[in-house]
Amino acid sequence: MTRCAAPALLLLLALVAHDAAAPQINGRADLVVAILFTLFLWAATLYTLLVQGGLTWTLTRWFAVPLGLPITAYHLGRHAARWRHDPHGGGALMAVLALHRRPEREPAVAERLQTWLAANPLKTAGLVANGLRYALHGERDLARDLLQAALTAEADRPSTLAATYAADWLCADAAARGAWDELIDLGARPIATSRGAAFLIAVARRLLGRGAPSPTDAGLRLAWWLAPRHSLTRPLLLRALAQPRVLHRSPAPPPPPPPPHEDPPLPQDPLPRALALHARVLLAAPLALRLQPARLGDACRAWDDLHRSGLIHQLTAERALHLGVSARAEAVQDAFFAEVAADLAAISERAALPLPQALAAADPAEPTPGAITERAIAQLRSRLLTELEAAIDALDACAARPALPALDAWREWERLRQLHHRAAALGGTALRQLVFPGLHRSACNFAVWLWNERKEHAIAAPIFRWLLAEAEHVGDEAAITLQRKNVGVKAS
Amino acid sequence: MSTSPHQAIQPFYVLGLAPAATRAELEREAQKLLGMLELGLSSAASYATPLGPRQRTPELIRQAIAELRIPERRLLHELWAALPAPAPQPQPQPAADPSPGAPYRDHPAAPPPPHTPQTAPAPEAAPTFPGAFELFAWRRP
Amino acid sequence: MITAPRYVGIDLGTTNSTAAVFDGDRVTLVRNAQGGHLTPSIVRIDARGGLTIGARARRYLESDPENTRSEFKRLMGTGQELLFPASGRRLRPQELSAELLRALRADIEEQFGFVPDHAVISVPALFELPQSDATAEAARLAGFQRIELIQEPIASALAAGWTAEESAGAWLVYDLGGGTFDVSLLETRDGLLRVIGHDGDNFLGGRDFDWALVEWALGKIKEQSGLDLSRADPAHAPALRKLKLAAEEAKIELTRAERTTLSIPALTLHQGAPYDLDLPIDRATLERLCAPIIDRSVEVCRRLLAAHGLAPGGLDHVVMVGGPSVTPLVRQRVSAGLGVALSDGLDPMTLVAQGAAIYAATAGLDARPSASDVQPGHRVWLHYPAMSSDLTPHVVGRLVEPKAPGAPTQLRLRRGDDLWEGPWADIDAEASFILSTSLLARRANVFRIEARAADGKPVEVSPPAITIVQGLTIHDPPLSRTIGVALANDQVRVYFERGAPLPARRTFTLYTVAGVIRGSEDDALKIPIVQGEYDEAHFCRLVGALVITGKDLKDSLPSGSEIEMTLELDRGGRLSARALIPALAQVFEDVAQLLVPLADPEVLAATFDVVRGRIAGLRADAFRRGAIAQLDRLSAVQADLDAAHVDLEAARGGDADAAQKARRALLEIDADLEQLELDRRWPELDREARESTIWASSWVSELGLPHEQRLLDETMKALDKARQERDPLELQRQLRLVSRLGNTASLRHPEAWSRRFESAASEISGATDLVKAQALVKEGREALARGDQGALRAVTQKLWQLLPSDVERRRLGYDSGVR
Repeated sequence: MTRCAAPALLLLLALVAHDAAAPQINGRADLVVAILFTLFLWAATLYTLLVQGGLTWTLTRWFAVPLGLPITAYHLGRHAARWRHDPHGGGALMAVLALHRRPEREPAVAERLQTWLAANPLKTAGLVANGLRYALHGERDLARDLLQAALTAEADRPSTLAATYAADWLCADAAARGAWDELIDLGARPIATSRGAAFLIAVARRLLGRGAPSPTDAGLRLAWWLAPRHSLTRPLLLRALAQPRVLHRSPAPPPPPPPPHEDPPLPQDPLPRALALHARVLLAAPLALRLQPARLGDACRAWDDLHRSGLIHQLTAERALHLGVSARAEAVQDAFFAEVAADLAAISERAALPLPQALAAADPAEPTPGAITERAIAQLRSRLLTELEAAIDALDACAARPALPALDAWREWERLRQLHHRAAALGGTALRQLVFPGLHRSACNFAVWLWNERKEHAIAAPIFRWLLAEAEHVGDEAAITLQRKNVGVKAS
Repeated sequence: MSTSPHQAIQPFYVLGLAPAATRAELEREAQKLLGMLELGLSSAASYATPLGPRQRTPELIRQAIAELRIPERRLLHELWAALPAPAPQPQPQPAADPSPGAPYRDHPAAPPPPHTPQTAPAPEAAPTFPGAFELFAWRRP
Repeated sequence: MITAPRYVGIDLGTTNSTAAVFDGDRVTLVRNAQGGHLTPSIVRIDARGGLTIGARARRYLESDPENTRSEFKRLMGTGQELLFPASGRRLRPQELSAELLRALRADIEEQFGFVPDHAVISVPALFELPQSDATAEAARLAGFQRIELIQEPIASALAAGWTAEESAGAWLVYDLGGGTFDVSLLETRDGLLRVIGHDGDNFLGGRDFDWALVEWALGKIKEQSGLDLSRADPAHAPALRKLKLAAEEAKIELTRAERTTLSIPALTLHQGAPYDLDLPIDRATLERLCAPIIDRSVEVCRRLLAAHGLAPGGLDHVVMVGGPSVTPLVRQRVSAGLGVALSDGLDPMTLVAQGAAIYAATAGLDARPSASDVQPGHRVWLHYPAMSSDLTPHVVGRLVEPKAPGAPTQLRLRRGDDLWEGPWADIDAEASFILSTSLLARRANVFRIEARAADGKPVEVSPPAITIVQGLTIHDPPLSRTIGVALANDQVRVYFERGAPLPARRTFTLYTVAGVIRGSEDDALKIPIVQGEYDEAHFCRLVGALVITGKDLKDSLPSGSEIEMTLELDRGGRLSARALIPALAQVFEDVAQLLVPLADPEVLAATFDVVRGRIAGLRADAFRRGAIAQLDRLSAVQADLDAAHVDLEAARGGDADAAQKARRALLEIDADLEQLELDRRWPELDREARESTIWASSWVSELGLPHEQRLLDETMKALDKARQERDPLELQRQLRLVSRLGNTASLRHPEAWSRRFESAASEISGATDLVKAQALVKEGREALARGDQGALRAVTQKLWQLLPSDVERRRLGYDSGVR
């Protein structure tokens, strides 16, 4: 209210003064006074119109951004009433949007952008601006993480414009990668999406036939017509229309049919057979999607059987005699199985496929791991724990660095969260319970530090929420109580 | 993990010889391959492994022969090489993306990067829409 | 014009340097101006700046020691400049070595009529990167265009193997130099030489015989006249120099005579009058003084053999190298100690240079200036081993201009003696061909290249002939010491093991342990590169570091960021490093190459005191526990420390060389002590492991979930394995896991937090902020009294934050910022 009242009062005063002075202009001094009054009058009028009347926003949105004028966009944008809770972040967001319109990278402008973004504390608009800046630099993974985090931070106030920009970019990114189910997830969140994003989400729903009712042909066409850039999106529209509409979600997606395999026949001898199965898994592992759990399970089983059979022992003993290293035969055999186990652990990690699950898929009747698989499981678990320990240590170290920019603090947290996500997928609840006490201690301290000392509420709040969810999963009563309090207090 | 799987850099595969090869044969082959690489001969440029053909480099050859000179290391590699490398066959070159700038493609030309954190796999033959960024007037990353 | 290739090898020694030339059949030693094969490694610069090198410079060693420098090889890589006061010139050790090499180069020209452009230079097996780099620089300064370095024991074995009738089997190269002792175990099979292992003592050499004699003489002088000369006093340096020269002479004399006299007129001033030394000494005394030193070297040989599962009798050849190994006493004690006859007929003084020349053939380093005249005929590129152990190596080739008119379509080789010709080989689509050969053993084989065109007519090719030498070879130069990157946890990520073939390149992905903020100068990521065979980084030598500061970064780097760190070594062992940060697409390549650190006597003295304190502590502890074996080992370490003390005293007297020696000695002693301490700690660690398992399994069985029980069982298995293998690191890892499991289970107990609080409160003496910690403990006690579990928990968590972390460990790992 006061922001509106003050300029209005000024305007009124100026008008009064102008009128009062007008009839008595005689002499030079009076003329100067009159000119100053007039200038003041105009400035006040302009300010009222620009800031309070929404003209700044209009100019930014429809003039500075489309023309690719980042500096103008920043200075106009930060005065827009829309960003009054986060002028720096809002201005920077507008500047990034303008930069996206420029045909090439401009390091000088990017540099200035970074200084604007360094302003603390970081709020949603700032997070989104940072995310879009990373997108501009081609760091798509980082951009995706940051924008996802911005949406999480917005969980309580999902309707802001910054969240819409974030959702738009995430939609575009998912569509560009063909990850249509991510689009469906985005569509399910309570975010005001733009018309372009709405069209992409509709296409996703039609293509996959799930997530809200699959749109009709007419619905699709309408969404397309409302979205911009018709010529660009027409092929996608046609592709979606070609997909038959699914009215009910099929009860369960059919398991991917075993590919009609061009696999060479497996050798008969146990060692070459195990090696061939191993190679087959490795061939599929770089593209985790192609690795079927049963295949990994088969390989594990083959190694376990080979180990149990004692064949390698016999083989190494014979050859060692020939090569004159009989004394080392045992060590060589050990080294060989250690390398096999290391490979299996690496494959399991890369494919995010737990080995027990793979074994069960290969032979549900015999899911118990043998010696080699056990070794691989233990090795992977110890690796994940070490990684997590290091990430927790790094988080602890953050609080000792008061100059740490908010975004870097967020990245430390984000790295730990992702690592935990990966480790949890591989190690299951057992591993989550194992790491939770230490993780909770460090992460909670970190978030409290961010909230209390750094006032970085946009970053700290999602951490509390995450901790609450994790505490609930592992069933840590004390942590649940604490985090409920934190989430409750912080959200108010 | 940055190291290649053991089957990819198996010394016997690198040298293109069977585990039964004598030491002199190994040395001679290594020397010959190093010479061929030095002279830029394409026939020596790659070697067959059960994981597909790999690029042969002078460093790899040197490492391979150095490993095989140590009897216990050789024994270990003999175990790994118990599966013969497939006979080298002309590998079809991965087809180049026909039009990288095109906004629309019906099949993914390349698999997603392995470290993409999103877990959801693209369904079979799902189209990609690289033009999505232009839709919002954003620069394509 | 010389047609056959010539290979040059140089032994750049501490005391003497030698050059040899190999022509494929014979090794010829190069004579210097005085007609000898050995050129003393001594450089003198007179007042007018005139240089004198070798035997002529040696004459001034006594009369003008200030301007005459010897043994500068030991300072290679330290960056220390040596002053020649008369001319005012300051030269670095590599510049002095360059002068020496220049003189040897001139001798070769004098004798063979060509100035060598390429050569192989030998370096001690335990030389580290900065020292090797300095040697390479010396060669460049001397005008060599390309050089390769070879480790001295390999050179010796190559030379011995070249002359030996039967070379197969296990070899021991015993190299006792002036200041260092190296022993190498090698094996030859199928004509190929392989290094199995090295050992040595950087602080044991022929000079120790001299110093033993000097120390004995000093004792006698004090006894007889009360004159107290000390190596620690710079004022006594001239007298000591004279005494040492006399000792050297007496030592040589005693190899022939039974007794002699150390006589130096006017050694120094004593009570205002000149003191004349006249001290009789007999061979028995000398042998008594030297025997312990020789026995130490034999012990090192035994250790090396044992490490590779060889009994002393299992050796086939023992090659003695180095001046002091001529001494009959040394030969006798080594032969008896190892129970094997020594190879004879080899010249221990020049064997290294001969081997270096033979190695130059293996490396294909023809020393003759490259011929500029183009021979007629179709040009071919050829690739073949200049020296081969194989009797039928391949020659791979390619036509330079396959489209030229009349280009050959088939080629073959014909041996120079016309007794062998190869089959015709076709030229393939890539214009390449592979020719077979057949070599005569142990000689240079010349092959003519015959070619014919499509119509069958002979065609001339260029070059018209090649030479391949058959004999014992070593294919790639092996790395002398393990190289790796120090990690933040004081471990080493090994890139190249000792003995790895050069050139080599390897990449590992490392992860940052702390974030680096863009633009910040204080934030730096340090990647230390270390050399040495120890598991703990701080025992290895720091040889370089790659430092990336926040100012260099395009964007901030969070902790855990990937760094693809590549280390590369060229054939000469020169290191380059490259760090790629994939997230920023930035590459860093500026490695700060470090010099061997200067050894400041004061710092050394302080380290010395610390080490002495540690030994005393360990000894008291061992006495308490009655650990006899531990006491024996401590005595051995104490003996090393005493030897180092002599050098420390000399370092105080201004002897930079002795200072280096003392520095290395202290480092090795430190590592020995660490091992001893670990052995001492082991029972404690073992007990801790047993207690923790009992503690954790009781908690887990009482309050644990089924999967935790399973996990605990697995972990206990791993723990047992680590205990059996006495692997302390693995044991500690598994212990952490066990405690974590126990903690998780115990947390379900209603009183969990009060216990944790008590445990944290008991450790506050080590807190980073003691005042705050004490306040927290008080607060915790109040909460405990109230029974407020929530408050207690909060207090305990705050307390944990103040307890010391892993700062100390990172400091040990050279402040490494990666893991």
